[in-house]
Amino acid sequence: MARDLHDGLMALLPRLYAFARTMLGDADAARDLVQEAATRALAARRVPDDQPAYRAWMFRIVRNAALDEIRRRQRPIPEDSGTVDLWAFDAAHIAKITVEQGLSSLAPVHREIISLIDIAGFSYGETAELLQVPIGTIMSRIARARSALLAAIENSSLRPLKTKHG
Amino acid sequence: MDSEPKNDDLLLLNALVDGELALADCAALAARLSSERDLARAYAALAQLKASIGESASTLPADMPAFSLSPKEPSVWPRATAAATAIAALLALAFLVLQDLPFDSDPAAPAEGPTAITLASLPAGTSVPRLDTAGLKLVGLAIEPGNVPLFTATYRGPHGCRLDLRAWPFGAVAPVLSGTDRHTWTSGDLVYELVAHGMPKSRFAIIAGAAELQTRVGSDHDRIDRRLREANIAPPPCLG
Repeated sequence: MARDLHDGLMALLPRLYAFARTMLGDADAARDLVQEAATRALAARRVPDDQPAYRAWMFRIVRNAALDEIRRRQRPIPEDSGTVDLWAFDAAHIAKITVEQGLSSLAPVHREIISLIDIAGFSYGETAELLQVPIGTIMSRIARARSALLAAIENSSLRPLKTKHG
Repeated sequence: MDSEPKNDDLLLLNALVDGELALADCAALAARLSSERDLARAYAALAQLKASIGESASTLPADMPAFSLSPKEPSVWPRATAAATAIAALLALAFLVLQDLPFDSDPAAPAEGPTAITLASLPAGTSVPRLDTAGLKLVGLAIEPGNVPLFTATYRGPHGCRLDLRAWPFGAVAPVLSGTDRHTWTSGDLVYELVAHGMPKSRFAIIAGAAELQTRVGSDHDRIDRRLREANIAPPPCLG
């Protein structure tokens, strides 16, 4: 029964929202987009009948909608923040706040791959299937995206405060 | 020092961080990480970046709106409806479910063998065990040479399980780390401590034993592999 297939939808919502928010950089738009995607999914006549396929299907719906929204807004695609010497990168600059700021400055293609792998938790194989590209492309794309994110963090004036762990 | 990043190395480091590296490549890269300081530094940066992104995403539900899950006709796309019919209980449920759900949908069944990672920036003999075979991915690694602890590694499982591993020189006193269970051992000049957060005791005991073995020179890799696989058979959910 189709309704049973949607049992996992509630659990997916937080990650769908996180994915959409990272893609759009806009919490309100992400909320609306995920709400619309969930509503459409529940009304769909044909639904994938296993959970991994259902999950990929939901992310594909949200991704396509997010790309449409990005195109609709016609925002200028940000330039990458140059290059970074990963071999000498100071990891102390990496913190939740610098990561969030860095993510918002990335090109959509970089935000997308990071969102799918690091936020949604897809494997390289699942991501390749979802984006319809070879796994090798996923490998190079995530490497470039993370380098771009590190460059954005390094070139930002924002620096995390040192905190004491214990 | 070879400070020129090589594209192939970047791909390998990212795949290692993501738990996607083939066994042979994993072993070769682990060997290089133990001797190439710059490579180890790059690995640490990528591991910390991934952990920070995950941390950033995991805090989102606190400000996540509630969604209405009624199968009504959708409005005109992409103009979206406001979630004015938010149901607080649904939000709470979604948040609770998130705490216990895997980031990936597959029950973890990685093909990699248990190859501990040693890092050039830490004292010789310092090892960071791999627990992938037990379904626990290394998602964060904070290295602080000269401090106590020397490093903190965080592992996460597909059902929300979390383990923190720390190591410090024998005789030093590390700050107490809260957790539901812990296993402490000495290897060489180092004290290791593995702390569980809600993992059932029986499973934790198996994994802790395998982690300990990986820090010891000349351990039987087959035995470690068997233990980790045993810990991954129908794992009970974590409690917190």
